[in-house]
Amino acid sequence: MQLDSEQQQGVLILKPSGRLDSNTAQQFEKDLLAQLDNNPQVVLDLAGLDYVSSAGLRVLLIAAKQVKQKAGSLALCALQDSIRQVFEISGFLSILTVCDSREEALSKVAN
Amino acid sequence: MTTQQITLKPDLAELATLAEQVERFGEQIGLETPLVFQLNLVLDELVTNAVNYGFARSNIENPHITIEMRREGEQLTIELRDNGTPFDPLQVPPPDLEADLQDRQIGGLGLHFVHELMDTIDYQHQHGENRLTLHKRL
Repeated sequence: MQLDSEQQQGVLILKPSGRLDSNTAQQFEKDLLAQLDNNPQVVLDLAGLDYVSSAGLRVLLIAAKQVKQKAGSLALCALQDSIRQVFEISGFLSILTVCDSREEALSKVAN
Repeated sequence: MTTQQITLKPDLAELATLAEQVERFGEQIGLETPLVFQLNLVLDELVTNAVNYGFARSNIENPHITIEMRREGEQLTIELRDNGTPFDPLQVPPPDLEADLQDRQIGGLGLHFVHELMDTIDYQHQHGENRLTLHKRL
C-alpha cells in the first residue's frame, strides 16, 4: 500500500495504490489524514487501488467527514470495476462524490 | 472436484497470504477476476472479524483459522473454521446504508458484503470451533 501525491490546478491529487485491507488501513489512515490536514480541496485518484475491504472504506469515510467538517471538498475518481462494486453495495456512491475521470473530479472540487 | 485448504495464524498480516492463495485457487478452477475479488473480500472480512474479535483474548490455546474452498461443478463451497470465541455472524444486524455521510457507520458492513456476495451462509459452533459454511453458485 502506497500513497503518492501531486498538485494539479492547485488541487492536491492523492493516489493510493495496492491493497487497502484491515492490515494496511491503519498506516493509510495516518498518511491520508496527514495529507488532508492543510488541503481543503482534494481529489483521490483510485486508479492504482487494486483492492478495498470495509476497513479501507472506514478510512475513506473518516477522510470525507474530516474534509466536510473543514468545509473543504473531496472527490474520488477512476475506480477499478471491482472497487466500484464494493462502493455500490456499501451505499458509498450516494454519500461520496465519485467521478469517472480525474478531470471531472477536478472540476467538482475546484468550485 | 478441486479443493484447497489454507491455515492461517490469527494475525492481520496473514491477509496477504490469504489473497495469494485465493488467487491461486481462482486460477486453478478458472474463476473470473471479479469473482476472485469477491471471494477474497468475503474471506478477508470473515478472517478480519475472527482476528479482531474471536482471538482478542490471548489465552486461546493453539489459535488457528482454517479455510477450505472447493468447486464441484457450478457450486463453490467455502468452510471456515476457527477456535476463537464463539461468534455467530448471522446475528449481527444489517448496517444502515441510507444514513448520510455524517451519520454513516462502518460496523456490520463487512458481513453485509458476505451476505450480498454469497448465496447461503450457515453457522454452527461445534467441538469448540466456529464453523461457517458458505455457498455460491457460479
